[in-house]
Formats: sequence, C-alpha cells, structure tokens
Amino acid sequence: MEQKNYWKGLEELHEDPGFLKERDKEFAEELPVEEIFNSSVVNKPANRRDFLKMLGFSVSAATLAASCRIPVKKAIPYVIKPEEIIPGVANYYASTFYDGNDYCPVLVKTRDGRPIKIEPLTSKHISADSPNRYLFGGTSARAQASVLSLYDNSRPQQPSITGKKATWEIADTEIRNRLIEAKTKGGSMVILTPTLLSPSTKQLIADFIMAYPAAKHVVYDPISYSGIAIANERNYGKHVVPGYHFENAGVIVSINADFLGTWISPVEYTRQYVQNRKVSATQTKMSRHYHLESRLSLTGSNADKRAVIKPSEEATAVVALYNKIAGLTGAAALTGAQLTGKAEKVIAQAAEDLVASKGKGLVVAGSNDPNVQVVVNAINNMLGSYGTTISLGRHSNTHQSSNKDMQLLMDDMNKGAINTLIVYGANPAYDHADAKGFSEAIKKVETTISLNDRSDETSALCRYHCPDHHYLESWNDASPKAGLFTMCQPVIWPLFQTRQAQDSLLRWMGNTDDYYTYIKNYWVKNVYPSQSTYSDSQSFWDMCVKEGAFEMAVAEVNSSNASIDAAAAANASMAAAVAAKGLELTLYEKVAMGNGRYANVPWLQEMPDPISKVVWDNYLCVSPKFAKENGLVMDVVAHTTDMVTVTAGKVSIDVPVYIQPGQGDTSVALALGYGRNKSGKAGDGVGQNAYPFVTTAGDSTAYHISGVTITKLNKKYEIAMTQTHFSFEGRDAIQETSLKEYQKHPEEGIAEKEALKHMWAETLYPEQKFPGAKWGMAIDLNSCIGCGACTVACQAENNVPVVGKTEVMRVHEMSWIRIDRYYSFQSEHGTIDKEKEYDNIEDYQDIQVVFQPMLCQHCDNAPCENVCPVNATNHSSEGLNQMAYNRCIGTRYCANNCPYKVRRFNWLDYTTADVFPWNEPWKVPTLGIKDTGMTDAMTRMVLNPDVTVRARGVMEKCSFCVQRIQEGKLHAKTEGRPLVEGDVKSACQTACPADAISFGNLNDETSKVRKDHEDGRAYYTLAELNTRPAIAYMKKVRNTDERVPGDNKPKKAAVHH
Amino acid sequence: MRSLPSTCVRIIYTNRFRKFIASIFILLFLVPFSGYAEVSATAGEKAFKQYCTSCHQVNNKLVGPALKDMHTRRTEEWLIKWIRNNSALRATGDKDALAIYEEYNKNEMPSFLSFTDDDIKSIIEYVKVQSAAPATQPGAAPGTEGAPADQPSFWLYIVVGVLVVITFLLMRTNTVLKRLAYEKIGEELPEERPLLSRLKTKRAIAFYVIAGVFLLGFTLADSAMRLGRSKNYKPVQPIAFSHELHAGINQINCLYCHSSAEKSKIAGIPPVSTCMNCHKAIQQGESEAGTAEIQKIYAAFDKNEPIEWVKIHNLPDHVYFNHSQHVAVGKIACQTCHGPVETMPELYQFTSLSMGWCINCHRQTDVQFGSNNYYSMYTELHEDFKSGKIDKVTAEMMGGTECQKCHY
Repeated sequence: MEQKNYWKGLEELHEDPGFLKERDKEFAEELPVEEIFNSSVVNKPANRRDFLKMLGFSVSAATLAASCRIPVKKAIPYVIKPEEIIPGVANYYASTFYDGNDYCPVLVKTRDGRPIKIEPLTSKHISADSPNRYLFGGTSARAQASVLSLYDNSRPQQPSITGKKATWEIADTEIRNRLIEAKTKGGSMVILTPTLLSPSTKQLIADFIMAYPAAKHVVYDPISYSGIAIANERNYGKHVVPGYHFENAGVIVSINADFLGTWISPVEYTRQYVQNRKVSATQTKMSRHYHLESRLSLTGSNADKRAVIKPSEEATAVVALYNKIAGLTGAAALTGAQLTGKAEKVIAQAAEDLVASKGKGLVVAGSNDPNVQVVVNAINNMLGSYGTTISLGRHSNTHQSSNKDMQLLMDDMNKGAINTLIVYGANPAYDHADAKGFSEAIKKVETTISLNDRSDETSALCRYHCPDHHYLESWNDASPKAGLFTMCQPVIWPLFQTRQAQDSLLRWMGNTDDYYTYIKNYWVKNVYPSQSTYSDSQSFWDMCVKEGAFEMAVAEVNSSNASIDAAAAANASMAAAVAAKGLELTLYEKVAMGNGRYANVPWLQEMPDPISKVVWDNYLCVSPKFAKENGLVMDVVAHTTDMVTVTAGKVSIDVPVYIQPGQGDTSVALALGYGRNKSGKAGDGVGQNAYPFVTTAGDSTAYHISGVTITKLNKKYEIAMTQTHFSFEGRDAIQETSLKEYQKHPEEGIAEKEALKHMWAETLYPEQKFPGAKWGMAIDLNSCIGCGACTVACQAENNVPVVGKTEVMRVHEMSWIRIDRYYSFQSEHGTIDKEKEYDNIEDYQDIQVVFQPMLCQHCDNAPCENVCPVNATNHSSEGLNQMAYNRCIGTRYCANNCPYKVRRFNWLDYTTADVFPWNEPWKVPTLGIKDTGMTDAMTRMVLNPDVTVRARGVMEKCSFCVQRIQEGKLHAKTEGRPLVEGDVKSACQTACPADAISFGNLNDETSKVRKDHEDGRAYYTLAELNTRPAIAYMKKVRNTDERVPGDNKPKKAAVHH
Repeated sequence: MRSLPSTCVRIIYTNRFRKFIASIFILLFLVPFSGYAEVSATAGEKAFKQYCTSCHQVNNKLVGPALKDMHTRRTEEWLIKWIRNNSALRATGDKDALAIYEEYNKNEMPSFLSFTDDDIKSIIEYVKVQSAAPATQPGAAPGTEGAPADQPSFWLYIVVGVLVVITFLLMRTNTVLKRLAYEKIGEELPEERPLLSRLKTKRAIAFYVIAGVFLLGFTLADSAMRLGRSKNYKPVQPIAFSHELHAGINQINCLYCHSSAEKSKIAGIPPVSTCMNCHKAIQQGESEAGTAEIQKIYAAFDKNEPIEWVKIHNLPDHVYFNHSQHVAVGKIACQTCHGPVETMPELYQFTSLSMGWCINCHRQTDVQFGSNNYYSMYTELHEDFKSGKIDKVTAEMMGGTECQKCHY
C-alpha cells in the first residue's frame, strides 16, 4: 500500500544531509571525550605524589562534607489557624480569568494560601443543557500560565508618582485634589479601559461619571473586532459580537477566522467544535470544516478542506461564497471578483454543503471590515443559521471597543482638551497602531493616572501609577455573555502594596465602601431578583461565590426583521480588495503570546508555537516558494535564519524569516505581541513589535496590509525552534483515515490490535502482573487541535523548568509533554510522495497537518528500563514507568534507548540556579544570554510542593502525574471505597479544552480509557517495537471526500498475522 | 485449620502465642475489678478519657480536683448524683457539693445526663484502679526509658567468656595430645616457628589486607549511610513543652493537637490558639519555671507571633510521606514511628527514619485489607487470602515498596 509521508519540516522531507546527521544523534552536543583523553592532564603518567595529593584531597573533602551540621529546620504553625486551611491539603476556589481579551472561568488550586495551579471550572449553577456550558470545563495555555504572572517580581510593588515610589495616602490625596479641581474647572476626564466584562465595574464607572460629570468612558481593545459589532448594528440594530454555536454546525466555513486559536473565544469554540468531531462506532457522523486563509493558522491546520487566499481576498471569498449559495437557492448574485484555483473549488464545495444542510451551517470571517461582515450576515441569514448556530440574544460581551472613540480621544488629547486620563488595564502606548502618537498625545494631558497591574509602557508615561491587584488577589465579577455571570475572588493575600483598581476609583469618588461590598450590593440588587432558587440574598451570594457562576434565561432576538443590504456592502468591501497591490502582510496573534500582555510569562514564551514550533520570538512567515525566489535560507539544525527588512508605508522593521509550509505564496505573516520594552526581565526585548503595521481607517482596524517590500539583510539570526528536536527518525507515528473509509470499517482497528497482541506475546521477559490499578491514557488525534494548553498545565503541575532560548537551541528543553506537528501532502490527485514531484514547490501551500501530543508512553516493555545501570527507572505494579530521581546517576542511557524521545536530562540547575550566583549565565554579560525570569524566590512560590524539584544531572520525564494518582487513591482509601472514574485526572487531561485525553484505570472495564483503548480507532504508536505502550492514540479522521491513501497499519503486525 | 506453608506456621504460632499470653494477662488484670459484666474499668477508661481528662487527673489537680481515692472520700451514690447532674445536687443543698463548688471558684462542672449508673460506676471503677497504681514520676531521663537498650545482654558476655575458656582448654589438650602422639612414634616434635615470624607470612599479610579493606569498607559504607540521619535528635525547643505531661499524664489525645494527621500529609504543629483552648484556664505550672513557660504562649498570642518550633522529624525533599495514609487508612499508632512520646518530657527522634526502616514496615505490616473497600480491586490477593495461600496482606504485596510510592 502507498505510504503517506509525514514530515515535521522541509529538512526532513528533503532528507537534508545535515539534518539526517543530527537526527540520528540522541544528544545535540557530543561530549568532549576525545578532548579529555587526549589532553595533557590525562596523558601525564600519574605518580605516587599525585595519588597522595588526590587521596588527601578526597579524604579531607569527604570529612569536611560529613562533618557539616545538618541545618536546623523550623516548623512554624499559625497563631490562629484559619478554619478552612489544613496545612498540606489543597483548597479550590472558583474564579474568573479575564484580562480584557481572554475570558476563562477557572478553579484555582491553592496550597497553604498560595495559588499554584489553574483548573477549568465546572459549576453546579450551569445546567447540563445550558447553551453556555461550553464556556466551562476547558482552559487555554494563557489561563494556565496566569498563575505564574502573579509571582512576577517586575509587578509594581507600591504606588508611584512620576516614577518615584510613594505611599497610598499621598497618592490618594494628590489625585483627589486634582480631580476635584478638574471638576470645578470643568476639565474633561476620560477613563480608558479595554472591554470590561464586569457589570459591577461598569456600574462603578457610571457612578464615577455621576460624581464627575465631565468624565467619559472610552473602550479600547488592542485587537479589534468592531467590524462584526458594526455589521450587527447595521443589520439587526444590536452593536454586539454574537454568540456562536459550533456544536450545532454540521458544516463550518471559516474565512481567515482562527476560531480555535485566537478568534474571540477560542476555548469555548474548541469545546463546541469537537462535539461533532468525536466519531465512534455508534456516532459515525462528523462535521465538515472548510477553511480559507492566507497563513497556516491553528484552525486551518485542523480543517478538512483548506485553501489559501490573499489577505485582501477575504471580501472576494465571502462574496463568491454568497454568489454560489445564491446560485443554488435562486437568489440574486452580488457583483464581485472571482476566486481562482483551489480556493474557488473549495468555495463551490462549501456552498453545496451549506445549502444541503440548511440551518446547520455556520460561516465566520476574520475580517474586521464591517462591509465584509454584512455579507457574512447575509449568508448566515440565507442559510437560516440564526437561532441555531448563531445567537444574537446570548451575544458575547467581549470585544466592544470602538475605533472611532479611541481616535477621537487621541485627537482631543492632542488638542489639550483632556484634563485627566485614567487608564485601567489598557496599554495603548505599546499596542495601539499609532502608539507613538498616543505617547506624544498623553504628554498634553494634565493629570494622567494608570491603574494597570504592570509597570508597562503606558504606566511609564503616567504621572500617577496606582497599581491594581493581580486577578488572583481581587474581587470581581464578569458577564461574558448576556445572561451569564461569573465570579472572581481573591485566593491570596496581596503580595505587594497594590490596591484593587475599583477600590481606588471608589476612594477618589469619596465613597468609603470597599469594592467587595459594592459588588455584593450589585449582585443582590440586580442578579438576585432574577432567580427563585434561593430565598435569601446571603445564601444566593454565598452559593454564587462557591459555584463561581450564575445564569439566567435570555430571550432570543428575532432575526427575521433583518435589514441587510448585501449588494452595497459587497461593493464597498470589494473596493478595498481591488485596491490591494503587491506583496501582502498578515498580522496575527500567536496562540501562546496573544496581544503581548503576557510577554513576561516565561511559560508562554517557551511554549513552542503550535504551528512553527518556535520559542521566544516572532518572525516573518514566508512560504517555501517565496523563500526560494528571494534567496532566503533557514537552517533548522544550526538554528539560524536570514534577517530581512519589512517595509510597508512608513514603517519598516528588521525581523528574522521563518519558512512556513502552508503559508500563502503571495503574502507573508508576522505576529503581534512581541518587542515589548517595559514588560519585565523575561519579556523585554523578545522579538519585534509589529503593531505599527496595523492600519486604522474610520471605523475599521485592519490586520493586513498590502504593498509590502522585503529586503534581505546580510545578517543571520539565531532562532530557537523545537521542530527537529526529538525526532522519530522517520518511523511512522501517525495513522489517519477518511470519514468515508472509517464509516465502512469502524471496527477495523480492533482486529489490528488483536494481531498486535499476538506478536507482543513473544518476549524473553516474564509476564507482568498488574493486580490493582493499571494506569493508561488515550489521546484522540481527531479532537486534539494542538493548542498547547496541556503543555503549560504539565509545566505548572510538575515543576518543569524553563530553560531559556539559548538552552532550547542546544536541545535542552525540558517539556514532559510536547506536541508533534506533522505535515503531509494532499493534492487534487491524492498523495504526493517524495518519488513524485515534491519539488513542485507550489504544493507547499496545500498541506495537511496532524498534531500528536507525545509524552512518556509508560511502556510495559520499556526499552529505557532495561538499560539503566542503577535501576533508577523501572516498572511499577500499576503500570507506571517510574523514575527515581535520587537514584539516577545521569548516564542518559535511558534517553538514548527511548524510541519516543520523551526523556529529558537536567543539563543545568534550571530552577534553583540563583543558589550559586555563578550558576546564572545571564549574569555574565559577555555570554549575552537572556534571563529566563524563573530563578528567584518569588517565582518559586508557584512550585507544586508535592513534586520534587529535580537537581542537575538527573533524568526526568512524564510521571502520569503520579502525585495525582497517589492523591486520588488516598482519597478513595480514606473513604473506604473502590476507585472510581474521575478519582484520578492528569494535569494535561483536565487542561484540555477539547477533552482529547482520557486517563484512568485500564483494569476497570467500565472506564472511559479502557473503552477508548478497545475502540476501532485506537492504535499504539511504534507498536511494532513491542514496547507495549500504555497510551493509545485514536486515529485522525478527515471528513474529505476522497479516501486518504496511506491509512498506514502497523506493518510488522500485519506480516506476523 | 487451614494448611499453611511450614515457614509461616512458626511465625503465626509465635504471634498467636503472644496474643494468647497477652490476653491472659489482661484477663488476670481485669477479673478482680470487674464485679459484673456491665461495669468494667476498661469501659470506664474510655469514658474517662473522653469526658473527664480535659478537667481532671487522677493524681493532680487540674481545672477540677485530683480524683485519686475519690471512692474512699465519697459514697458511690453521692458520686453518681454529682457526676450525672451536679447542679441538681447543689440545688438540694448538699454541703459537700456546695463546698467543692466554692473551692473551685464557682467553676461549674458540666452535667452528664446521658450517663447510666453503670457508666458512672465504670468510671469510678477505673479511678479506683488508677488510684491503686503507682503514680508515674515526671522528669525521667529520656534515653533510659525511650530508646531500647542496644547493648548485648549480660548473658551474652557469660557465654562468650565460657566459650573462650573452653577454646583455651581445647588448645592446651590438643598440644598435649600432639606431643604424646609424637612421643609414641618416637619422633622429635617439629620445631615451633616463633609467633612473630608466623605473623609475617605472606598469607598472614594477605589476610590483614583483606580484613582491613573489608573493615574499612564496612565502616565507610556504614557511616555514609548514617550521614544525614538524626536518630535521637533532641533539639532545645523555644518552649520547654513536655509530651509526657500532656500526652502521658494528662492523656490528651495526639490528634487533639496534631489534628491534620488524619487529613493531610502533614501532622501539623498546633497553632497557638489550640494551646489557648486549655491554657486559658491553666495559667500556672507546677513550678515557677513551668509558669514561665506557659507565659510564653500568652506572649506569642498577644503579639500575634507564631512560636518557631524546631522541626525534629525531617525527611529529605525527595521523599513524599503522608500522615493520613498511615493514620487514617493504615490505622498505625503514632507511637509506631514516633516512639513512646507520652513518656518523653523532651521530644526526640525515636526511629532512624531511614529508607530501610520504612521498607521494613511496608514488608511486615498488615494493611487494612478486609475492612477497607478500596482494596476490593485486588481480587487475586483476596482469593489467595481466602484460600489460605497467604495469611496477611502487606503493603509490599500491593507495590508498597516501589520507587514512586514515595519518590516523585
């Protein structure tokens, strides 16, 4: 059978000799063995004198070491123990993570008063059939990492006036005096915030405006979605971002909307999306996802059918889709240009599918042009999507900013018409398209106050900086959607002398209430009356704080009275498309870094980008064809790449290039959110700031620009990417099939596994018994979207260190779970393998992607266990491949022998490096190494006290969260009951927004993981090696028409059978 | 009787034998005091510890009077009335009752209306037994009582001495016999090599070297293993707190202060507020020094500063130990690891806390296999137990000695 070829990068596909040489080595660097043995020290004949010297030294060193006193440790109890705290037992509190852009209801795990882990929230107040349920139960990498941003030394630690430290009393007095003076003078005030979700804060700002009638509230988001809101206002009279329901959609068409990665509410959409992707013998239907985009996004890489368009062709594509559907349903066509090539075919297929499943289709577009969004509305209206896949009633409350208001504010500031500016949570001095203009304008404002919780670019320009608490130190509430409320509560006493922003505002209004009282009063007055479950307001409030959420009924908006003038909108949107000329640049958010707010969170900086696998940088994505034409070279093995100057209009910056398969040939892409200079020691100076390329015109903010020129610089750049690290050396790890094929033989995999077990029986080792529990995992490759939330969750749970860019380049990254991203070809004619013309370089646009989370497989016949000379790694009676750190002597034989390449060696002391100052390479200026921002006592507060911090020189790897296994077992034992499903959940499993990971007891026949292992889609990676993994992967199923050739079965198993 | 492997029989026999002997002793001890079935000193002990110890001791005055020989001072009838409802007794104008009330600053003793006559009689019975027993002397030296005697017994020396004498005698006999044998065949006795030259032979030197290496190696390994161990560690604590007084004499349950031992990995040092539960009332020590120590609690409480105790039982960072696993699930007595704490005026580390010590217990100790439903998944072990193939289930049989049970 024809084998489908999977490759992680071009170097692997082309079998680049340099890459092949490196690939076969387990460790990137050779140990200097030769050097040592040839050196004079070793070759000098040893004499008696030397021997005695050595002996003397050893003995005295040993004596000295042995005679050291054991340090005296103190056990310090509370004076009065808080009732709810039992030392050593974790408490969980419901809260809400919201930073102006990302929203996620969370459960915060605290140990002895310290938050150490974020878990997804599931609330009893949210019913099982609630349309809001998909907002709950999943997390993103950013939500997971938010706990680290609490323990950040670069947070402001007290208020400051013109950059000098001050006390709250002085700051309060001065500010209050200035505000009152401004009020009497009639000077205008502005409170500048990103979109606020908190209804009480909005009420508070309204109260503030009552107290200071000259005040105004301006909403500004770094990433604008105003196009959608304006279109809805025009068509339905509601200036909102609607609620999308991908779970009801059988056919999804996305035009440049990265809804699984960054678009509006990715965690929620991911949960919805995967509902129709989990096929099994009983549920053989699955949604079909069409995707048109100009770069390779996370969403695009999960699509069934994908085609590349230019960024400026968004309007063309939307109009073309409208016309195809109109043609099929007999409506009038709009005027617009035609698409060509594959995009045209995909649009035609999508239209047919959409029409065939009316009411179950959903079309979304990433364009921020209101005219494009009007046409999208018209399409969805034609398809009857309103009420099923789109809800205007349960609309989103996020992303409410208006470009016009911000422009007006900047004009007013420039005119000197603004007396007081209060900034709360916004950072326009960095993330505004005209950040420079803002920085100039703010100087003309008499009183500037920043309430930001970071000493960011904007705060630095403000006279007063009155730092807000971190969200984990604050009371707050949020209403992410109409009718849905969630709660945010403090889980730690404030670390620094900061004060909640709302408390500051209350104080300056002359209100003596604290915000807690305010928020409670708000809920009792506005939310409590809407329910009947609780008869008194106190118990209602208590339950809301405990459950973290509350929802009320919302009436659906009648969408039949829409007034959509699609023709006019199409004409207007096409004008922009026609105007675009030359090379185009897409500006996008990275899945980890987003808009740049979290630049100083090392976990996110070191999380490999799901697509490019680059860490600690942004870069210009160019297609292989573009690179070839322009002579751009990237050497993945040497971690070097060419630098280019990108120029568009008046802006030009120097960035490294990254050759990205799947990137459109006629455009390039650059990530926003980098190039911060006031974020903190880890985030400053990482990458280049691309916000200046953002263009604003009237109502619209555009995240792509045409007429771009690229000039190659005669300069190389070191770029850290994990793509080539830990290679499978060409062995097959992936199995996939098409939906049609799967429907024909859903049970096919079961027979294959039987054949495998037959082969596995042949071994020299005695049969192992697992008398109690046998832990196993199953990962559904069809649900896994590759977002990386699991990798950050693992890092937080297991004290996995951050190593820094330089160390990643030396292949020293420590991640226990990595996500392998494989490319493969799928053209109109089927597979292109290397014998055929892969040099036909245009095909790199049309690639397919599959993600495979790779972690220790806990093999029952583990190659690593047999080679350890000190038996530091061995097998437990519960099927765990155990790693005893204190026994490991660091021979690294195990890593060498592991075919899955999941073992990590502690080359340096990464977590406690500051114990010995000379251990921190960034303190040596000549080395030019960047601080990872992780080695100080404050940051170490985030460590999980139940997991050992590994020392230098030992091996480590995934432990299947053994601390959680032990905790779950103990819980069952204490209650004197058998283990049940859900007692033990691994960190990666709970973090996953797609529920792609199941974990549990394989000996339990009723467990989900056992059923998954026995499913027809389940297969074992590298099963032919007879490693007998405890992790089963469930085959990727693509909803494409054609059969995917190369549904690769384990070859040897088949032969044996 | 089940058939058992022969190796087990002996162990079981000894275990059973011990239990048998122990029960005979207990019976002998109890019989004279238990007049009838419902009233017993053991039942009284339980009730006494549950209800009385927070205010009373047998030998010492606490919140309430010392109860020693109360049965001789008062009639049983009076005691029953007083214990059940002392305020009712006072209301009748009973002089004795009123006198006690006045003597103890009108501190009212709680009523125990739910007590039956037998319950109260049991308590009286228990106090009677305790009154007869000699009072425990506070302040005994820790080493003598606490640590078990490691020295070989006197009898061992005697045996070794006898053996040495026999060896000497046998050697003499051998020499004489040899000489006689040579004389008989009429040959010269070969010349004895002098002792010194015999000690210098190659063989002897090889022996010294091997013995030396062995000895040094053993010493090295042995002392290396002792590194970081702190058995008998007895640091000076900020407050001269006596476990003997609190846990021993006053019979305060360990879990009263170390309350998280059942719920958490950490047994927990009690917060100052827990001390204050009792010491609000008990402000005086038995001596001036004692009172001074109690004053330290008030100082800490008033200043809102925690007391910085010195941690005695330290495990390395790479060891995970969970108290609740052992206390709540394993039902292991605190004394198993911490030694007879109730006899220690100054707390010290009783066991080595070495890995070998941990493993040993995991190999030998029964788990709560039958009574805890968690273990129902170990079907094979259950079958073996039922069929008599094994007579107990240890932690080791369920993987309790594997690395990642404690190291992760």
